[in-house]
Amino acid sequence: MKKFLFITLMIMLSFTLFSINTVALLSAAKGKVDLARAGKAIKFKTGDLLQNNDVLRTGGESFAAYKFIDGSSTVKVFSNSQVRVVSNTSGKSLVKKVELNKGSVFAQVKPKTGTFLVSTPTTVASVKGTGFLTKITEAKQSMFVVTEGEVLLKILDDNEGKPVPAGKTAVVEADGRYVIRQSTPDDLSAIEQAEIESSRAKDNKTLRVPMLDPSGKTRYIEITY
Amino acid sequence: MRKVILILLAVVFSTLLYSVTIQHVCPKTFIFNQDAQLMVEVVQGMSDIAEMTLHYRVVGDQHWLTEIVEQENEGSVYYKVTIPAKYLNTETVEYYFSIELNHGTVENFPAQDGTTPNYTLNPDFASGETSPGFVLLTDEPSVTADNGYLLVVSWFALVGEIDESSIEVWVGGKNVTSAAQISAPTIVYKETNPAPGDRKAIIRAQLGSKSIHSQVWTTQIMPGQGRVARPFNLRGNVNFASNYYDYSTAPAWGMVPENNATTWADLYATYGIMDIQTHIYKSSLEHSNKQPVDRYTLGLQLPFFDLFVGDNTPNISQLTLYGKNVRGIYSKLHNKHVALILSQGEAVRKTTSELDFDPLTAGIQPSGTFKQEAISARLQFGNENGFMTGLNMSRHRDIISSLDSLYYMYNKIVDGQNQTVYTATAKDNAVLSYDLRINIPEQKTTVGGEIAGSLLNYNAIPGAITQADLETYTGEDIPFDPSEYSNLFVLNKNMEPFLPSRANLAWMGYMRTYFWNNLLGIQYAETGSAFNALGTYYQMQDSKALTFNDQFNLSRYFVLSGGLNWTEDNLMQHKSETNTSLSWNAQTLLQLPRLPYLKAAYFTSLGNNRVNSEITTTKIDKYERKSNSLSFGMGYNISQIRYVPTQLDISYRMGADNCDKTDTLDVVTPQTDNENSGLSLTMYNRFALIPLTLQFALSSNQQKELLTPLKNNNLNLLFGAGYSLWNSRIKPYLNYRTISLSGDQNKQHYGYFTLGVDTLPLKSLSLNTSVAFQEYSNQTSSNSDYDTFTWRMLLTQRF
Repeated sequence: MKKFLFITLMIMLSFTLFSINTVALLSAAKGKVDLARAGKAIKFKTGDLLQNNDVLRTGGESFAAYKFIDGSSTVKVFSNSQVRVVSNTSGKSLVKKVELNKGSVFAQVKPKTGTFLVSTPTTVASVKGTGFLTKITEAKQSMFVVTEGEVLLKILDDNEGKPVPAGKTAVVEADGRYVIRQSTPDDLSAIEQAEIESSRAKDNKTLRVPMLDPSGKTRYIEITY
Repeated sequence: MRKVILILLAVVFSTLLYSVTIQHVCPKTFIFNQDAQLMVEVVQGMSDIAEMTLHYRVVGDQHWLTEIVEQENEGSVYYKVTIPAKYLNTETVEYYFSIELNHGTVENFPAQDGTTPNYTLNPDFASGETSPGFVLLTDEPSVTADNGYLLVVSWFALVGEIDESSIEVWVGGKNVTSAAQISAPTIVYKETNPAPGDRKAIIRAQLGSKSIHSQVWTTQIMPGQGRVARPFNLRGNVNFASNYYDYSTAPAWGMVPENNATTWADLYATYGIMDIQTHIYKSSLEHSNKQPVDRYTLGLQLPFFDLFVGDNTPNISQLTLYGKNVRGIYSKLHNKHVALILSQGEAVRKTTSELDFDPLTAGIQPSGTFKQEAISARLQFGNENGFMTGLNMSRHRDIISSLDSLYYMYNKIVDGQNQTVYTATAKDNAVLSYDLRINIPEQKTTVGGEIAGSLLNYNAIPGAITQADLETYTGEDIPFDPSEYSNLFVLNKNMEPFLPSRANLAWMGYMRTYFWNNLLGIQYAETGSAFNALGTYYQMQDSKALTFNDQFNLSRYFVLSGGLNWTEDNLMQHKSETNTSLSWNAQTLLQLPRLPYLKAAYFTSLGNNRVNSEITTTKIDKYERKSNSLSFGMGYNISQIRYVPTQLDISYRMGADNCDKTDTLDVVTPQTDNENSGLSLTMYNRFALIPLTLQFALSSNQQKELLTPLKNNNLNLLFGAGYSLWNSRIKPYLNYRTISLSGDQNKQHYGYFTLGVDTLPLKSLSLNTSVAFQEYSNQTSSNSDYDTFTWRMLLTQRF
């Protein structure tokens, strides 16, 4: 318990002391996506670099994704969401944090790549190598759907970490009450389910074979295996 | 007369027998952005080589770039060439060598026949360490051209460790560092509307004293829906070279090279589907009354149309027009199924020889060379990837009006009658051919052949024969008037032969296949005694020839190659004597990793003649000429000497040749009986702690003429040293070479001392200059002694 507290304190300290500017790459932005820096909306496009404390907002039927610059993790921001991108250095590693205020995000984190946190108004989830979806429901519940690895939750001022393994879903009420149960298909929307599937598909290899069609144009046959 | 023919045939045969054989060990890999030095060993046919050229390109490029392959030093069997560092980064490079022989033909190694693979060099990053600190953030395996190409790399883990200014960004084989945004901890490089295809990228940097690099990342760019990008790319080189000679006394052999200066430029540009190239070569040796040395070419290539203006080398077909320079226009309209090639221009320039003219004695007369015009065409169906067939024609015509009659004819009185004597004749030559080629890629096999017929009028000056004269001459009714067709071809009594026959035909068939690591080639050709094609290099008339060669490769470790060449003249059986030659060779190279390489080669040939019993039963003088040579050697890269890695090569050669004549009384008389042997040792040291290289070469050769008997020796010794300064921007070097001739010949000595420097004063600009001193002394005849001074300079700007 003391260890958990110590780590949390060190992380918070490091956030205040060693913040850096460029922290992530905006790898996708579809639909209505806004980016705010120092409280002001700025123009951007896919491929731009995100800075510490940038805030991403997505509208209905919109989507955004970013990758932290250490290449360790990809965060997908679903529709009607708002996240703050936070990152700081801790020695030679990068401490990454996703502050989710609204909506849902899916995080894919490579193992042994430094600290990665997702926070909601009630909970901080720390992970080391996993894939999980975090969402804030209309009832102000924080929901953590773990698809791979394990997530450790710290709820409000309860200093004891609650482990959530793969295949489980943790639902945290606004007042701190929580339940960890088996994940069900209803925990994810269709879009969220599709994105998670596409993330898993990244492990597949794709072979593209250029072909000429009868009109002489180049077409591609894509074989995924 | 027979002896003269025999000697001529022997010379011709030896030309065929001793076509060039080389040995080249492809390094397979190159070190990122460092010059790649290639070495070629000439195993056979050294004296036949006029020039050796390296052709190289990034795999997939359309144009070949070239570099001259330089002989390591005079007399050496080793040739060296360097592929410039700027072409060696992320992309695979392919190359081949072409060797132009003294009699004009060009041989390619490996053969450029569509079946034989070229040598390839792949990037090897052994020069530095792969660092995981470079992280690719834009890791989508493919993007569309509409979205642009974006490379974002994080070097977060290396911040503070590497020198930011040392970061280099290479994309698509180009250093794009200046176009990239590099700011800790990221590197961003963007391209809008990139051309479709694979795009490779790599990051390099200095980490302390060592070089580190990222992985090579490949992104596939697929065609977009929008406008296709039309990037403008320009590359090429501009060069200037000069040679200055000074002689204390002219050499006894009287050939004093002329001071000369040459400038040349090769430019290649691409814009969208357009490909433009120019080649300009301007030499001070150009003279309006000699055959041209200068070259000017402007070319435009589109996916369906090629147009070249100026000097070009159309390859219509092997038996019509092949490999000869034509100054004019070349066009090719083509698609996948059909192609039409038209070429027209000047093949030979008009020249005159201004000698004293004495009409009374009709002694020495002025002479000249007619301007020769070449017209050729090819209609082709199919393409090289499958079935291809073509109908070809070429006509070479000496333009009579290009010379004043003073330079090609005069009259003299013989027996009271006025006679016209021609000092130069105007030729008219037409060739028609049909070729067929089938390529089966699955079986890696190509089969093809060509048959051609020619007409030659060796003197068209008198003009076309009239219909009446022709009827009188042939005793036949002729349905056309030849003079009406003289603009196409001049028919008169100077036709060779007057009426076309089988002797006017030539044909060849070939097969090349690759199976079980064997590259096998077989070719058979017959050339009629009256077949003439002025647009091709040497055609041995009245002969048949069979060539067989095979090369077996076991990975890069073992190469075994061999060949057989059989030729026989008197194809038409018109002569009383038939000459035959048979030669074969075998070469092998075994190169196992970290072990010495071993090499061996054997060449043998046999030439003889026999009576053609269909013509005569009279005995003739017979000859039998044999020659053989064996060489073997070994080499090793001694990397165990840590401070001085050393490359060592030792070779031993021995051979013999003899010729016996059997006269009509069956008395055998040896004509020649020679033996030769030689030992050569080369050593190349590259010091590890200082940028010093040393070179040492020794060769000792002995020739014995057993009939005389005579024994001659020659000893070659070379010492060379080179040093690199300022990060290899200045490389001074010196060579000293000495040749001593001794034995039963006059004792002679040659000494060569060369001092030079290769510099890189600016990016992609190189300046090489050297001074060389040569001295020759002859112990027996000191009047022949001379010494010379040569100053060479070469300035090259690549871009």
